[in-house]
Amino acid sequence: MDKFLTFTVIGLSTSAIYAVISSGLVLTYTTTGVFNFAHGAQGMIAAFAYWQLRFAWGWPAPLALATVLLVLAPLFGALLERVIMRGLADASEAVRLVVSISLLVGLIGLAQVIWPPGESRPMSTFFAGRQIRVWSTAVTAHQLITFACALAVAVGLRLLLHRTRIGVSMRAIVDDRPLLLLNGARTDRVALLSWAIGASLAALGGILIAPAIALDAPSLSLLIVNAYAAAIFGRLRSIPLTFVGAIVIGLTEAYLFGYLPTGNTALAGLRLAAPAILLFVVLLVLPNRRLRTGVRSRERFPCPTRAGALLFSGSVFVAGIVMATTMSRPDLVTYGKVFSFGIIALSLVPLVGYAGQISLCQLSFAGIGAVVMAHVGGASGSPLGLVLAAVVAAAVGALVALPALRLSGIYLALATAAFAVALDRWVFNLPAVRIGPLRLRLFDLGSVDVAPLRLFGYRFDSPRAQMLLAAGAFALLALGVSAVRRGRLGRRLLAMRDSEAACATFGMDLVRTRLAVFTLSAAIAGVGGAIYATQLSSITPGNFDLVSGLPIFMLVVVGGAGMVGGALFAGIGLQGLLPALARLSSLLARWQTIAPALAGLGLGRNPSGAASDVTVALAPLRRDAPVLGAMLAAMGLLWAGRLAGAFGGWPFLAGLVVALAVAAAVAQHRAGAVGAVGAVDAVDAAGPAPAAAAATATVPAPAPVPAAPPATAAPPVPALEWMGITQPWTADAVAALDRVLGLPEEGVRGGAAHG
Amino acid sequence: MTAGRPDRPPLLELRGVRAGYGEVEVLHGVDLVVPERCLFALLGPNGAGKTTTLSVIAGLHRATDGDVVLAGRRVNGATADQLARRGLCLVPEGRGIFPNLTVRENLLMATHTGSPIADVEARTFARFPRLRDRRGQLAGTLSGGEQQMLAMARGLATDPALLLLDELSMGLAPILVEELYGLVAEVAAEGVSIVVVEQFARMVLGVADRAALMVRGRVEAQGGPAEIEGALSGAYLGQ
Repeated sequence: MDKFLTFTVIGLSTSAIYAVISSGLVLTYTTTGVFNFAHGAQGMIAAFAYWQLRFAWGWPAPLALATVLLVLAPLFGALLERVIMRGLADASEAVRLVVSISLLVGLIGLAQVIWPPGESRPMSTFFAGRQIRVWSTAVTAHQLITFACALAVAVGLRLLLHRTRIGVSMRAIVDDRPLLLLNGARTDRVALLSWAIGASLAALGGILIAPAIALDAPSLSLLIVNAYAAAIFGRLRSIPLTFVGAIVIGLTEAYLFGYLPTGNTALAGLRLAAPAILLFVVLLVLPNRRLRTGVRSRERFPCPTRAGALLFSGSVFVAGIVMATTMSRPDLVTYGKVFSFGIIALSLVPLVGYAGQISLCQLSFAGIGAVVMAHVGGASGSPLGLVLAAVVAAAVGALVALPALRLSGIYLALATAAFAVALDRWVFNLPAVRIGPLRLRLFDLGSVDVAPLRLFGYRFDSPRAQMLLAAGAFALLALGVSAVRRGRLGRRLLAMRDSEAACATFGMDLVRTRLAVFTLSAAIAGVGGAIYATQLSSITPGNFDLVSGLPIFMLVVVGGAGMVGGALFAGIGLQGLLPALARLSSLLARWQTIAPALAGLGLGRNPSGAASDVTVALAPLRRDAPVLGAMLAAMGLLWAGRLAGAFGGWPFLAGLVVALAVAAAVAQHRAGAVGAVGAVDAVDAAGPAPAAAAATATVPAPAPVPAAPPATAAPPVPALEWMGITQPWTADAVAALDRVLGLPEEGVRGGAAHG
Repeated sequence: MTAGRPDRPPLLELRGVRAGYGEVEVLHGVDLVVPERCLFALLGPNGAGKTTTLSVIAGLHRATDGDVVLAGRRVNGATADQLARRGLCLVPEGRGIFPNLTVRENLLMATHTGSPIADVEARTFARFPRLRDRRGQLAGTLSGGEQQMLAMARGLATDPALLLLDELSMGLAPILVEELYGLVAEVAAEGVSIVVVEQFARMVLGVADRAALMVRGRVEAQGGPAEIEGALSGAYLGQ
């Protein structure tokens, strides 16, 4: 009985902290629609700041507390709202998520720069040593303070949200922001206040919980997964239910801690993973949401042509060959991972880019692929390992997809994050698992060696061979992913992203489509993980945890999730640029965890990502054969020079970049001259005033239009959805639409003549 | 009654206002004059740009060209909340209420323009006694007519200088619409300037002092209700 009481008190005090943190989360989510993944990280920063003031500089506790809770945290929250979050009002869910995840990663990085990990930073509880007795158990003063704080927060929030005008305005914003503006409310002040309060609550939670666990940036930030689970109990809306959720989770954790047998290693990790598993379960029992109808998104991704996809993959492979032949051995080891990370990032393209689903556990799938490669591939590096890596990862992907069939947006992101946490805190740390006759080995409680792949008797054991293997695999898979986009599945995925409800009314099987995309994506990630593992040659669970996986998601979205180029961007960014920068200067090395976060934070500007910009910029070059040829010749010469040892790696790289930039600029200039003439021709041909364009937009043009102008003078073709809107509607536009829709051209031309 | 005093500028004037969504221009130069103390009907078929015009006036949507002039002052670029606090009140299309707030909390939101809550409540409940019984109820659970009353209550209780009503009739029973327009006429008689947007024109022309007809993003005709009535069928049938 004593033991039970003791653990109840411990559990309730944890609950109280979770309640404080998650109510802040709910507050910012309901009032601004941004699910703040960095909420916990804000609490973490606050805990560090408090430690700095109270223990490093020896300020008295009340002064330090007041400074952090009433000045620093609210200021920081307000700053976030003003600088970052305000621009996200009409961004898509993936973009909002990327921004707040970037903030999470950035804050962890920042904390590690300011307070380097590895030092001990003891933080004592409030009124250490004081306690009172309740029946047969002791309740410490710190615990009492925690309870009091939770109670004060509950009452305070209730009063704020229901009794004050600004509080009611916070709730009104959720319902209808423009209407609140029409009411004359200063909505930016309302948002500012809710972010300030949210940040203060995060800070309070962080300071209260920090003495119980070590002052460590990642673990404090991810503690938040537990608070997220509580918030999901209240469906991110109800603060009372959030408190109930916090109590359930806090008690579960405490009782697991108290009553699970300690000797069993299998169960040890379960304690850590319990909140994540609870989160997953709660998401499962959430009531079915309505099917989404159309969403308006700012992102636009062109559909890759077959030639474009071949050109992309070909260039990537050639780049791989050039890198493999010119780099030193340590460089090969470092930069070879560009391609294997690229493959893992590629797995997000169909999922996030095409289908609009969010997954934060791709690196976990990669981890599964890596483990399979290690054990099935064995010492001989059998290719069966690679195949099974894809198959097993796909199977697990399908398993994760099952709950995902009912979830989307932020809930799906949380479910996949919970899955990733459950894997890296628990499953990956298990010893071999026996299921009947099957004995599954994982990371063998530490690290596992992975043998290089052997294919048709050739062993990919040198870094050079491995880089070529990874580049080749990336090129092939990129071709495949582009083919998916052009094919039936791709059209279904895009349709599903645009409007689930419309798809359902067309009789499309949403369940199968989602299952398909999750399975495909997990399989790609599995292959990527297997190849990554052979490059690492020894893998640990730490290579595949949630925090390492987040930057991949961020950079794919920054690069442009709807295009395979976005995946390459992520690979180059994480495994190419960052190590290169780190080598240039040791100062940059310390900041390198923050760099991807900055990229993510800049996303609000251009939600379609960098890859689409690059594609647009390079389009004239692709069409301009003479310039393209000249550029390739110049690059070939540079390569020959490098192989002959005429100059080093950096001048070579600079030369390549200059060649590309000059060629792109020249092609742009030439295309500009030709394109302008073409546009004038088109206007002349179309004849009547522009106003007629709007009138004819709804009806296919009956007016006879001269035959297509010669290919050299083709007018710039507008994006598909703007056909007939930004330019007069012509027979060419009809033909272009027919081609895209896959309709027989003549048949519909006849129809147009009818109209 | 139809025209304001000659020595003062009209209450609202649009001069060559253009606006659009993305690359699609919806208003191709709208000119409109609304005198003081006037019930003005803005009519036109579906897609004519009436709602966009109101959004531009209220500051929710930015004009790409032209001037929006309120009582002689150019207000392009003013935000919706600034205009609202200066006495412009738009009741948007389709129930301008907060469904997850109670009736009382909805009224509390109307006080952002400066009227005390007691005043707002007293005036609202005097006009719509039905809402008094539903004070504590979530606005989203009211009937359609009650929701529209609540939406209008903001316009009536806060003493705006200019009231903009967008499609009051949407989705409501004819008898209720008649009742609401009776109320609009009453308020206009008290001296509030009102712009009413309606797709169903005949209903409004009966109460309006002046009217304008919009077709495809332009004002085709402006004048007394009788003049506009003659132009209606042509515009609606696209001739």
